[in-house]
Amino acid sequence: MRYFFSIRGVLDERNRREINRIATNAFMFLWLYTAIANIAFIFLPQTKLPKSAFIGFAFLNLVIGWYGVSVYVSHGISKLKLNYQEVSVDDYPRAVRKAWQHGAWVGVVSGIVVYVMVANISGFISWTAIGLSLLIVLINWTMDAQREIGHIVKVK
Amino acid sequence: MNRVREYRKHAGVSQFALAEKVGVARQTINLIENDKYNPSLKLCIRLAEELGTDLNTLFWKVDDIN
Repeated sequence: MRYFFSIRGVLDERNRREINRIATNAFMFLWLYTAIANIAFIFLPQTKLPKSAFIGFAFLNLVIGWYGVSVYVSHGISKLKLNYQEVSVDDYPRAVRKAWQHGAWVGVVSGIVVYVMVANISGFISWTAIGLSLLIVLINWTMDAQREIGHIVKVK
Repeated sequence: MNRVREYRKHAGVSQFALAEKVGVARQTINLIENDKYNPSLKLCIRLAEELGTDLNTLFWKVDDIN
C-alpha cells in the first residue's frame, strides 16, 4: 500500500482512512466507467465498426481507466501531503541518503527498460543502447532523488 | 475543544515528539488538537497515557464533567 500510493510519511489511522476514501472513490468511478463504457460498446453496430475502433476503445480505457485514476490518486495523495516525509534534524542526512538510494533504484529500473527496448532495435552490444540507457539512469536517478529530497521536511 | 494541546504543552513535548511516541504523523496530532479529526479510542488511550492523564480530562467537555 505504501509503495502503490507513494506514501513517504507515517501510515497511521488517519492516513489509512484518507487513502481508503481516495481508493473507494477511484473504485466507484472505475466500476461505473467499466459498466457504462463496455455496455455502450456492446450495443454499437459491430459490423459497421472499423478495426481501429477496437484499438481506440482499448486506448480510451487505458487513458481514462489507468492514467485518469493514477492522476486522481496521486493528486489526492499530494493534496493530503502524504507523499511528504517529516524527519527530525538529526535524521535528515539519513533521509536524504535514502532518497538518493530510491532514486538509484528508479534510475536503474528505467535504464534497464530503455536498454531492452533500444537493444531490440539496435542490437544488444550497441553503443546507442548502452549510452541511451546510461543517460536515462542518470536523468531518472537525479530527478527522482531531487523530488524525494524536496518532499522531506525538517522538524525541530 | 479537547485539551490535548494544553496537556502536551504542559508536558513540554512538541507535536512531532508526541506523534513519534504514539506512532502517528505530526499532522494527525495537529488535526486532533484543532478538532478536525476524531481519533480512534485506541489512539485516545495512547495519548492519555503519554500525557499522563485520562480520557475524560483530555476529551470530555469541561461543562459535562462539572
